[in-house]
Amino acid sequence: MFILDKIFKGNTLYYPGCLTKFVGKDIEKNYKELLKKAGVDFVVLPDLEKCCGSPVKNAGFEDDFKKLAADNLKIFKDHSIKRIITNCPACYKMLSQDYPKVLGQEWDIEIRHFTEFILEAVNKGKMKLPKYDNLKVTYHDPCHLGKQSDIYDQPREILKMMNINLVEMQLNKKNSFCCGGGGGLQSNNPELADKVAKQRIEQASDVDAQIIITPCTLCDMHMKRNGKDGGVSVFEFSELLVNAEKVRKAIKR
Amino acid sequence: MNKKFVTEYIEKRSKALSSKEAEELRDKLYNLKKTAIDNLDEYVKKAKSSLEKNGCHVYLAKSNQEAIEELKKIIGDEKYIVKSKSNTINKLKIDEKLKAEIVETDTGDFIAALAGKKDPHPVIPALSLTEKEISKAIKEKLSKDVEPKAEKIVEFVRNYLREKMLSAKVGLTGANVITTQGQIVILENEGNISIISHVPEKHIVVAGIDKIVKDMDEANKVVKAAAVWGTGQDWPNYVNVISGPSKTGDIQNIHIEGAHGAQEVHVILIENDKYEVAKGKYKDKLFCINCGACYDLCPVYNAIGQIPKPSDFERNYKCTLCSNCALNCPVKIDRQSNFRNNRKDFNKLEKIPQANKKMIENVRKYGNPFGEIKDGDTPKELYCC
Ligand code: SF4
Ligand code: SF4
Repeated sequence: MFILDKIFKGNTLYYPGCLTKFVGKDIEKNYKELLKKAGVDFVVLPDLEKCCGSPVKNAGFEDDFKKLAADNLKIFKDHSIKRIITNCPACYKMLSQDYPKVLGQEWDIEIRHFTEFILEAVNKGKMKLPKYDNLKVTYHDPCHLGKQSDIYDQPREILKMMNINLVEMQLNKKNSFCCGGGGGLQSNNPELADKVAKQRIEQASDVDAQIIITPCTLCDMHMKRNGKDGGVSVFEFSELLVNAEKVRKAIKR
Repeated sequence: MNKKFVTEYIEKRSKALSSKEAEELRDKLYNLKKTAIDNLDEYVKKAKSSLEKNGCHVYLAKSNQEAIEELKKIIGDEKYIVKSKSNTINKLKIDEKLKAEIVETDTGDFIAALAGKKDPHPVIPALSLTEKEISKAIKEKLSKDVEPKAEKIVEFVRNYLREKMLSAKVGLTGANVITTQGQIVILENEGNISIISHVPEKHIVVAGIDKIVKDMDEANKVVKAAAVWGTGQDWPNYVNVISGPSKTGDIQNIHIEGAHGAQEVHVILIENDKYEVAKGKYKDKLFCINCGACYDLCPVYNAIGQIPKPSDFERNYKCTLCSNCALNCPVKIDRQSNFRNNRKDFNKLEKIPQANKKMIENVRKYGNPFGEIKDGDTPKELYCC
């Protein structure tokens, strides 16, 4: 039954994205653990899959982007991938919006962002969330996930289910400011990228948030680095779900 | 960053127009501007002939230089002229090129000129000046003591400028919109434009040819958007619609040009490279109504006081591609794609930032932006981000 199911329905791929896979390894571990907890039968293709092409497209190499999309399509088809779950907002945006544009109908793979997946899993009773009573949290919308993909509510709902006291920064959702990490700014203009990050972190301090949560490895790393001296700690979404002890400890400090 | 300004602006704007209404208006504006730019040549011809029929003098200037030459001829030997805010006129650098003294009559411009410090924001030139700084500049430049309070400063500026505006012979303004049917539409809150376009003998209008739309119905949409997206207002205080010099036929039905308002209306329409741009892939640049909304929510502008610019190599790569500017543009200019397309152009010319060069080499060779990574290793340089 199980095997037949797979043949008809195809495989689910967990696609961490280059940054998470090569740099944010703990985050990758967290997300894999969450998939297992939710009882998802998934595959990974770390050595075969290629970069989604987000930095390539952003840097103006459109032909390379098209090639990456086509290469990935072939790799995914070879492995009967029917559904991809990714935690990376940039990959999510590329796979769900830009791939269909360059690949047309051939691209028929269902793309889910991890926050959508978690919310579904929790609602179906397949995943349990830790509780953080009274923790004052603000949520930073990653540009690719929020205003570029319209995923605003799912992550917020999950936070509320954890009994978190969610406070919004004055600039949130479609008006939210970038953390300064994207678009190639970190590598092309690091000082400016840091300034933009500090400006965003200050907005979180303004509403007295204890921590900033964001489901983006890039935003997380960039703001963590720039928030060291401030009163707000920055966490990637999965840390809250998997490393409850670590989070609690960090806030007590 | 001026947080108070940004949050108040967003709040006002969302009250002025629901998001559904805003989206509908954006679609309409995009379409009407696109039609105008796709038919630029025809729109210019029609506007010129309509304005002339109304009694305006119309000049088609191929370049800023030609516009300045025309200005010189019209202004003649006048010692000073009164001017209102206009980004098109600012680009002419007339203060260096005309003999006449230029008196800025927009409060923000007047103050910014006194302080010698102008914010690049197209709508709020004195955004970064405090009351104290302004009061100090007035003391230094005009030897007047003014209490560093907004209302006192405005009162001083009003009194100082009123006399100048009433006795000037030439008023120089921009235009928000010009219609193919011969109307010039200029919006404002302060009332200075109403005065300097009506009271001096000559009113000179300088505008880019991209300002032309079909009719007043379309013009009203632009006015609405300029108010809502520009300052979060529902509608501007004043909308000046001028279609020719003042006139009267009250005596024996004899047509006399020049009654109470301006006796001459001169319209200088500047072409520059606009016909060229209108045919290319960056034509949406010409849809711009100069509302400044893209500045207001740009994280980079808020951090450093300068907005990234797609066509400028240095300034392009200061953009995070966050898309705030594109999503907040009332005419739906896709600045985000423009940034990428300009990067594409730069790449073709082999003008590639070092980090991007590394990134693309790595992607081509290893399928990831970081390069060769051995098992368990973590890359040190992040070329992707
Ligand atoms: S996309 Fe670039 S220019 Fe536009 S708002 Fe964001 S950082 Fe500013
Ligand atoms: S680009 Fe759009 S938002 Fe920016 S000034 Fe022009 S019309 Fe306004």
